[in-house]
Amino acid sequence: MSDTIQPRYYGAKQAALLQQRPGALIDAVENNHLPTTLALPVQFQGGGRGTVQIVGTGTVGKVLSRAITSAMQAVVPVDADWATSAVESALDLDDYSVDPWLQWAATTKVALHLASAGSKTVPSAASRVRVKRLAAIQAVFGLPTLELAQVLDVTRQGLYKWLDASKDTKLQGASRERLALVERIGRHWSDRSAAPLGSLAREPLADGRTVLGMLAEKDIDEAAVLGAFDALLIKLEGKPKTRSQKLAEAGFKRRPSARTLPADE
Amino acid sequence: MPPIFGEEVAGQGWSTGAVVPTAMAPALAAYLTRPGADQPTLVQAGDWLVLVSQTCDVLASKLEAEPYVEVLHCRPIAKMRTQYKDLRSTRTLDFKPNRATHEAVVLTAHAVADRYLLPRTLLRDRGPDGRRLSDVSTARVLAWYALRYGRPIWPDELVARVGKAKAALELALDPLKDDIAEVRVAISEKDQELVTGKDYTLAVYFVVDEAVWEGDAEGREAIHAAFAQFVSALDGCVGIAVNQELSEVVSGAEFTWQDTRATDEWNFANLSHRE
Repeated sequence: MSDTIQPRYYGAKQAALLQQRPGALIDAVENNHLPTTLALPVQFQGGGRGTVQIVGTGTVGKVLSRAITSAMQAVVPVDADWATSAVESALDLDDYSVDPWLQWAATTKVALHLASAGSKTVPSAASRVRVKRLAAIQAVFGLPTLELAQVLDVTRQGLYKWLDASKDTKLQGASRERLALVERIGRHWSDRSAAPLGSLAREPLADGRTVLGMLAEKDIDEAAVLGAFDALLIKLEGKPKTRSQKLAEAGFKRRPSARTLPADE
Repeated sequence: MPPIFGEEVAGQGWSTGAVVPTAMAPALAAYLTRPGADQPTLVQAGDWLVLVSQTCDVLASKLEAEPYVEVLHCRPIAKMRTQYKDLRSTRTLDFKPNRATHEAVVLTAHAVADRYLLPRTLLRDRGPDGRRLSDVSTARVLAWYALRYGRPIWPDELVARVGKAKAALELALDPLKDDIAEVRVAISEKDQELVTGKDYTLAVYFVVDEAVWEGDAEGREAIHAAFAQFVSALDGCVGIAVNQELSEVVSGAEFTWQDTRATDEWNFANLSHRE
């Protein structure tokens, strides 16, 4: 799990907790107004969806609430002291103790996955489209994740989430616009070359700048980037051949792997 | 000057994929007896006793250089079983021996239990059966053996954890069937059976054929999409953590020999110990 949230009433040290989608649970526990039964929609890691029902009330402190996941039909304790905590794998309330958060993170991941066992990951159509668009951008730009994240003006962790179709990440306005702009620039490049922009983007231009640097700016000068493509295409022409390209040109072909065997049915 | 042994065998028409005639079975009885068995294995008329030694070994000039050849006893079955076809299992292989001559025939064999050694002298006096494996089937059987003995050994616990997502992972890799990319993984705890609560950390690389990397934008797009899907499915496995900073899609021209040594090729046969 890589999602990180910061609850409103806790310090940073306590707040760096990994969680999937605990918002409703946080609200319920922090307000300490748990109804007798509270159904909370939960999306488990892996895409499974279920409902957590809080049974009984809890006090913010050491007291634990009991929750039942409808998917598992099993009783699981929820630590009300740690408002962002998810279901624990321990089932015996008496045996429960507040463990260091590292232990919590490990057990929570297991518990979430156990809860989603049997459910298939079915990415939403929007998520699939998002990943497809990003895959197209990656194919055109051929940049490592960190650099692509810079181009898209997002953190590397953020980009990982965008690339995970099992996550229903909604791109905000600025991110959407940036993605569309980068996509448009990418199309211009792919119209002119089948090769990825890749390492060429780091080649210094006449003015000393690089296309990668231009693309990583807060406000991309689209016209300047497109103008620089001419110079990059010339550099592409003059790019020395790799060893394997020379071998291929000389007639030394790659030996096909066993995967090239046709399917047997 | 006495005839060269290998040439005599070659003159009979033997090569990899040839089938030992059923009529030779009585002469083979002593060699078709399993350890501990009272009776030799019965080779039925519909069975295929396939020569699986490499042709260069079958036709080696001197008998003493290669005194034996290996044969695989394949039996017909009604239909292909999903878990045993296309090299999915390193123990059992279901396959079609020759689509051109025996379209409807499906055979099965166990890599060890159905494997026998025959003296090569037996090939000198008699030629093979009219049946034989097609070139593709011969390549498949040899690739199956290579996979069995060449695959890396992964911890059982890792296999069990990843195996739960096998279907999703297999689906993700579907676009790579054309050999446009190879999946390689680095496993930080590759020799350890980890306990519950401790994650195996994996770095995933989709190594792209250079020709595709440099000249096939659509191919690259499919590979990137497959990579995202594969990493998502793998990272979703309980007890598996993908190091996303290291994982990437990379050109085969940039993936070095050192990188190859630090990684294993991903193969679903690596996950087949629990059949």
